[in-house]
Amino acid sequence: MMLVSIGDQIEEGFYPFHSRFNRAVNFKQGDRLVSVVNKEIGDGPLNIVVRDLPAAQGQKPLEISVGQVVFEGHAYRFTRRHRYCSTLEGGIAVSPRFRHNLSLFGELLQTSSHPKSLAFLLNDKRTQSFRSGFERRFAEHVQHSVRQIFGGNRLTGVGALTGCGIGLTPSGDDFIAGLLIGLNLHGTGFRGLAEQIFAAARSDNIFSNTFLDLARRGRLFGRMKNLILALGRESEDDVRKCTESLFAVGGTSGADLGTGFFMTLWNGFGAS
Amino acid sequence: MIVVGQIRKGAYFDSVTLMRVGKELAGRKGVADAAVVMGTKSNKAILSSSGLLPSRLSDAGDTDLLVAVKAETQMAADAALAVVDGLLKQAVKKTGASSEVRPTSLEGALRVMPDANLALISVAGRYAGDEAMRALENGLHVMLFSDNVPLEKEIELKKFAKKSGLLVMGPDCGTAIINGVPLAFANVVNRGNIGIVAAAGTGLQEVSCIISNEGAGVSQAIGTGGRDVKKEVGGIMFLESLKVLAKDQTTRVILLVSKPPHPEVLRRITKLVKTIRKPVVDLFIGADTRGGGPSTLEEAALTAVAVAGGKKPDDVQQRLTARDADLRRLAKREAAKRKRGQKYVRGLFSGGTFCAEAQILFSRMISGVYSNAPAGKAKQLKNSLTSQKNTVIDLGEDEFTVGRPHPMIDYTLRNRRILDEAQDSATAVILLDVVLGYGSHPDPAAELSGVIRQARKKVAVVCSITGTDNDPQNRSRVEVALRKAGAIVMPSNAAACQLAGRIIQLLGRR
Repeated sequence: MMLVSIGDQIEEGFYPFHSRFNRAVNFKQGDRLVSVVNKEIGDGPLNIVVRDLPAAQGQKPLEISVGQVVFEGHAYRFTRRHRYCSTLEGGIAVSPRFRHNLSLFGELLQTSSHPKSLAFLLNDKRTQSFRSGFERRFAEHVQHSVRQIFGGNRLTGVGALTGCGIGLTPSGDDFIAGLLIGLNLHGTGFRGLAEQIFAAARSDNIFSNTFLDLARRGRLFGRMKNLILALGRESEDDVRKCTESLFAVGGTSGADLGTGFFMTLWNGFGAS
Repeated sequence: MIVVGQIRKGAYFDSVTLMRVGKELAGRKGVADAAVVMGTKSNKAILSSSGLLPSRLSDAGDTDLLVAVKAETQMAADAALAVVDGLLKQAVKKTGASSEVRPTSLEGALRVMPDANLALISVAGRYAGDEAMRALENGLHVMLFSDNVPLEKEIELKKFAKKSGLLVMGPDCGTAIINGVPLAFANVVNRGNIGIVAAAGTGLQEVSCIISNEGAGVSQAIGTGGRDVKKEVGGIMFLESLKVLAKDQTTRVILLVSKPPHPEVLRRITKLVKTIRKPVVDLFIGADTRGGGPSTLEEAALTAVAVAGGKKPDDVQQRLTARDADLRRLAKREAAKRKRGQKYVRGLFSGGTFCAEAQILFSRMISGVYSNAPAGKAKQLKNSLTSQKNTVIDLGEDEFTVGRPHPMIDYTLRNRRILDEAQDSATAVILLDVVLGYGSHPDPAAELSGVIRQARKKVAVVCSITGTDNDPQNRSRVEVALRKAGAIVMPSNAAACQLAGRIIQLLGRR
């Protein structure tokens, strides 16, 4: 196993085993998770990326000391060059080019994302994919909650959206994480609001809490960081490529997060 | 209605797995609705408002998995809950949680399978060309399933492949059968001595299935992608594939299927055919066949079978003429059931070649034919969502498939359109294709039967099934189910179109 990168939010310590999936092994660091993942999952502030994730070998804790990770009983060295930086070094200007690319991202959300993602919030026709009784109610509930958020009743809307949806990280939580990332792009003036939203969205789901916490602090996983950087560049191809990469996260997670991010920036949530 | 549920403490699954299990449960007999979700407060509220929250599930926490089922009987509800474990295991396998080796690059795949000589490429179009070139440089034939590959890239790939003695099937090549292995959207057909080259995806599926259902078999079925026979590409791969089959020992008869090639490309094909010592049957859909030769996919397939079996092509003509008399009788019977004002056919196709073939056949029988993908004399529809007079829709066109699966996989749009068309008092016949095989919907009869039953109350539903009994869906089983639902099932797309056209002709004479 070769260590590819280690997130900049991972501190030295001894972390008990939490859970194991095909492409990730999770360990508890207080009320958040540090994950050893393969390259498909990729860089993240709390990810240790390894070239080949070994098959299940028990539930040994993860040990991190200066320049060394001990995973499943084996030690792996790392240096500063392995550290993944999860912030946008130098920030990003919301320029006309950024807005143009953001509009393209919005189109891609509507045309290329998973049919059951929250992109139906951008295009009513997509609700046609929600067919069962539960799915229809789900779509209505999400629409109502998001209307509250963008209609000024922010924290009530966030509370209603939290935990909404199927899967490990419910779609509603992904959307809120996208919203927090969008708020962060607006600048430090919205830090207080981001804190309030985070507090309203916290739950017993340690997976959601982990990425909501990272999002409120502007700590980005690799695919999201790449997308934001691409939005500021000239190439539409880059935007498409990074969008595709984001949509490949989870079943609908990448697109749900992207929808929250897009709506926050496009609707001028911060400005209102 | 009975509502039951289960709580699974601390069980984590990704959303794709849970969606899959939820859909499987909801699709079970006697089950009205089902959901498999994490037990968050919001989800419980949604379950409750959907009538899916039995009181015992209210205690579930954020990290618990909830399984809720609404069913007609207690037995159906219990049976659904009993299969959840199995479905979760199955779905986890399908979403990739197995421990098998899954290479993530061409180089990795070649390390796992060093003897491979063909790469099937299905990635976004703008990257597919480069991947295909890497495969060619590694000495692999290429099947390029991806579309949206730039034309210049296609030409570059095909020229390089020709120089290297390799084939490039595609871009936008949806089907092929190589050495008996069905690739992408393909059917399980008999192996035999008929080799096929096709620049028409569902056309290839139709002819290979008819050949197999007739008891003959296919040696190789090579798709080239529709653009290959256009002027710019010049038929590079169509010609190379023809040469391959000419040399292939097991191929005795060659069958060519395509929409009309560019005249220059057709000239090159004709020139090459003249040099081949094996019998060659060709069908260029919509081309002038007054000089003889087959005029439908069915006729082309049957002719190839006849020639391969040492019979005369005239036998096929006699057989089809006899069948035509049956079609006329059936058309008369169906026309008599239609009310005054019902006078149009509405063809809703998942296969592009079938849609084109329908238009060509209709143009010989009826007037006022419109389509979103016009062929022959058909006119362009103003709005693809609204039918005009006799309308033939290709639901596989980009306008219907962006952001959703192909209609061969997802029947939602077509089912809705069937019901809408049936409500139109001018509709007399709804014409459908049902394509089986790998890649297509695993249970099309279950998807279609309900809507056919409803539509059948007002209109005639005529359909063809492209598939074999060895396909995962089993053609005979699908046919029985569709007939039971009230559809008139024809042996080919051509026969279905001819029946529909005859009914409309008779209604027009009223």
